[in-house]
Amino acid sequence: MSAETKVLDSWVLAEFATPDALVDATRQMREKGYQGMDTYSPYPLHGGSEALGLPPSRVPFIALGGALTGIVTALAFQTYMNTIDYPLNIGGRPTFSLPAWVPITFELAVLLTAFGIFFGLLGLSRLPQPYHPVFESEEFRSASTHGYWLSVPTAETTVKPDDIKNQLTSLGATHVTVVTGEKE
Amino acid sequence: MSNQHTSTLRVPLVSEERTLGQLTEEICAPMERKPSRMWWVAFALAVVTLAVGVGMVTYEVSTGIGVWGLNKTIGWAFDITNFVFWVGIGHAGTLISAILFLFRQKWRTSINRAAEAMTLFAVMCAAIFPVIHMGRPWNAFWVLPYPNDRGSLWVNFRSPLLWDVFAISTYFTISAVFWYFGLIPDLATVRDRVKGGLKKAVFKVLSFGWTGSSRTWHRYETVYLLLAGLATPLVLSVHTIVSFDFATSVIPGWHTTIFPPYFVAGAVFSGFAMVLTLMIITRVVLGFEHLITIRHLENMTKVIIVTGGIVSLAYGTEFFIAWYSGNPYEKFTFMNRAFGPYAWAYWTMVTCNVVSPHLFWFKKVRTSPAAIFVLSLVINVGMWFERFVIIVTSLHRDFLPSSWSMYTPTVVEVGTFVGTFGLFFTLFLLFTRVLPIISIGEVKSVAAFARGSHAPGHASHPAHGSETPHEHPAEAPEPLPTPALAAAVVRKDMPV
Amino acid sequence: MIAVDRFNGGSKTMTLAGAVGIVGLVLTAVGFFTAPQPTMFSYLFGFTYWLGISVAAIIMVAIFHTAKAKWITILRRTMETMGSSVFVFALLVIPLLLGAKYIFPWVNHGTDWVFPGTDGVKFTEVELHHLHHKSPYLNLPFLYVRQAIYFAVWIFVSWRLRTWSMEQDTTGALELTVKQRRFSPGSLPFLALTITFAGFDWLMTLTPLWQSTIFGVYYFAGSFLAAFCVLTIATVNAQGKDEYGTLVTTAHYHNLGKLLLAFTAFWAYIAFSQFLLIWVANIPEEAGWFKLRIEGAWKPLSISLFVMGFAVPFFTLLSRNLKLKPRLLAVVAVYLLIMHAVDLYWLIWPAYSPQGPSFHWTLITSFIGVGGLAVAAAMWQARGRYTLPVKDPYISESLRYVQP
Repeated sequence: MSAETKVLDSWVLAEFATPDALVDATRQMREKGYQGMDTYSPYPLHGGSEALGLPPSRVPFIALGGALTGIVTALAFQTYMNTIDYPLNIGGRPTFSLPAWVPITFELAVLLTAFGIFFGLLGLSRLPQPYHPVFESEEFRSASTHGYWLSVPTAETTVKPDDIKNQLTSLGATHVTVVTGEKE
Repeated sequence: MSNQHTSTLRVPLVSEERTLGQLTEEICAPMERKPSRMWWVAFALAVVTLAVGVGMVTYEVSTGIGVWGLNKTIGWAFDITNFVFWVGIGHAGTLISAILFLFRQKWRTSINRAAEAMTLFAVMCAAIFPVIHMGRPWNAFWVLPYPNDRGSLWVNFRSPLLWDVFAISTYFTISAVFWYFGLIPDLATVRDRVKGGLKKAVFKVLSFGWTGSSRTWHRYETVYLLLAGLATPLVLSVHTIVSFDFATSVIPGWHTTIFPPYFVAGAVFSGFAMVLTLMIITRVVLGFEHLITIRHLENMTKVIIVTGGIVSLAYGTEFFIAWYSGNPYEKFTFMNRAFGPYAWAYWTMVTCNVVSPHLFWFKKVRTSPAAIFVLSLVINVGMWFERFVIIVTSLHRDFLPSSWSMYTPTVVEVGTFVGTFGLFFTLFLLFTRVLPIISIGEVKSVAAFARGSHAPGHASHPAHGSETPHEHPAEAPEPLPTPALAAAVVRKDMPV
Repeated sequence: MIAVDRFNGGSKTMTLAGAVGIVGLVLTAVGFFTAPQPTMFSYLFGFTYWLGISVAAIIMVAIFHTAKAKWITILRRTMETMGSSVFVFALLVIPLLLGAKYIFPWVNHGTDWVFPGTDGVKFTEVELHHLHHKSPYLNLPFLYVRQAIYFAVWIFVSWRLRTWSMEQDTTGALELTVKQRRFSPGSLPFLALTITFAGFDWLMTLTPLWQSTIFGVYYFAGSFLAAFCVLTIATVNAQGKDEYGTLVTTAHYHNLGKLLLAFTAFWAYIAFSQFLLIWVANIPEEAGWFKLRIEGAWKPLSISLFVMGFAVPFFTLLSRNLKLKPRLLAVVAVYLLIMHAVDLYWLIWPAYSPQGPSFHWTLITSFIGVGGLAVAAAMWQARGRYTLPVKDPYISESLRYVQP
């Protein structure tokens, strides 16, 4: 048993019939003091992140960083290439043609912003994740089609899994199960 | 939580009642059953057409671009026309997925996935033309600024053609990211439906281990919104830059400042026509009439009226300024367009783009898929001719009458153009087989609304949450007591 | 419970605005008799500024009807009221037409015109020849006819939509909504044509040998932005008895903020497109207009217009928190209105003062004169009516609007 708890964790998974029931149950469980819970649904639940008490997303700051990097990089390389390193008179236009730099600067700002937020999301959410303990449960597969699930980790609480199960059932869970998987 | 109060006047977006499970089932069905005979026929046709295109391109590359009908006066014709045509088609996909998303137009949910795929395929078709026009496509990478040992030698950043390189490649990349990003939750859905085997393994990898966790959804919504916010100015910039290819020159008929917004409106106009063409085929072939409803088609026809109007206004303004400027070359170019040897092309364009969209003012036309289908084809033809007219008529009679010339496409050019349709439809047909062509997650959220259950957290769009100011929960202001509000009555003739 | 009745306040604002307007216009008239030319340019500035806002409001109402927007319903009456003041401009345009010879070089085929800011430079023979070519369009009788058409269209559309909307306040008939939504799309082509040509007539023909097809779009892009600024400011301040401001939620302000952001970007996009195309092509016949503005004494103003008119407000408005705070948003709106004034000054004044930016006191008097009358007219139109379409079928939906 002791060897097992070092590498394995258990989660109680509960399925709810409606999104409201899930959000409600999540809020009540959090008020009871459970930590590290997560909810799973086929589409984003409104109020889900509030019920879990999640902080605001950091993504907009990554976006701003990407945009500024793009603007600075594009202006720098265009000026270096066409004004400093290879100044060539084309159509009598000045070698430092700032208005003509604008289109590419804009494109690069957009590109780097999009890359920033896309990879930022993957990083923050630790995707791609080849393994997740919830995949151990066969029933859990409904979370991507029509089910509304709540996971409660047992590692961060002293309450016994069976008691958690009972609490969840009393909150209206239609299906409760325990999965055991490797620690993250 | 943040539940939109909805009037009973609204019409449901999914026209028949379905449970979430049924919806998943239905949308995934085309990719899980064996392809129908109709699909095989269409696919065979598309592949044959593609083969024609590949043959033509091979011949052209191995022989040289002399096999095209270009000459020293008309150095740009069919290829650039097709390039602009395909890029324009692609823009409607982004418009539907990003701009309509920003405008919270929920009706977009059942068409956005297919429209985004269309964008990707159309941009691929477009990109072929400049590359083969280079004559030596294996040197295409020369357009990129990369360190080289030819002394200091860099590309020219003052050229609109180079802006194009950056614009189109950025556009393709972002469209692909946006499309894939929207697909991830659906890929997970497919993964969880498949029993096992290779398919399961592939979808496991493609879905990145998506669990549908709230933490991820929370960020996902923000990212989706930001991507939409980025794609919107991007799509405007791309066609703006395409219009710069012409407008930065000093050629009469090309150099006019209205080109950027005019090209963007034209792109939306032609792109929506193409979306309509595809959607009408798709809904019939795959039996998605209740998901892609008449209302979707009708809304798109309205966008067509508006953008068609903008395009017509631009035609008129151009003509007026051509006269007003008093520039004899400018005036000549426009008179030559309307009454010169290419007048037939010009009047085809006017008939298709200026006159035909007005048939959509009639409700009967707007709600008949057959009529819409025909008109969408007419508009596609018209918009192709618009680019042809702008490009060829502005060039073919230039400043020196001794170099006046005519342009006729050769079989190779026509074959290449037809071949791109083959490529486009081959890719699109494959897409309908291997991926869910309707965004399952998004349709589920509007389906909840369709059933009339305005349960909090239910009737909302998948990617809306983080935007919501949460200080306004369900307790909305009381209805105004004096005077009493009009009772909302469900009425069929009521526009919603 | 919030009770809303017909609005009867605002008499103070109306009287004050009317008084300021009359004083401003009287002073402008005095200015005219002392220095006719700068006064007429100033008057054009004040006139195009406020008229643009009024017409943009009419167009916006039509666009929102066409798009079947519901969230805007609570704000719609204010836009209708802004548009209804257009009749005042039908009177205010008369002095502009009477004084046309002081600002439009093409009057009398340009033969009398002496370029201001020069020592008596006149049109050359070649230029006169070109002007003569344009005379079928650029002549006073046709200008009068065009003005009559513009105002007929604007007054009719504004009156039609607003009357139906107000009729619904008492009857609550759903048909009236249907009528407004049917009428609006049909009116848009006329509105688009008239505003485009109005922009050409009043601003582009100040430099009669220069033309740009996008110019009309440029004028109304700026005017739309200004109209949304006025709407934001009006909404933030409409907190009194029977005023709709108390019912407006942060969700509405969030949308207004987004519209301000979008139109700041749109205006910059149009401005940049026009500039880049003319700058890159560098054709002598059209480059002059920009050469005057981006070289020499006008250069600092052009650069600051880009920085202060686009970069600063754009990056400020990106902040979501700012858009959720009505007071702050109103501050940004006031700032943008000032920038719109700078933009129009930048369009108009170089024609009068090519040697560099200058100031004439009638710029202020005509600005507050026209503005005062327009505001007074709008207040007069607002009084005795509801400040929001109380029986619109979508009003309750709009009241409960939350960000989706």
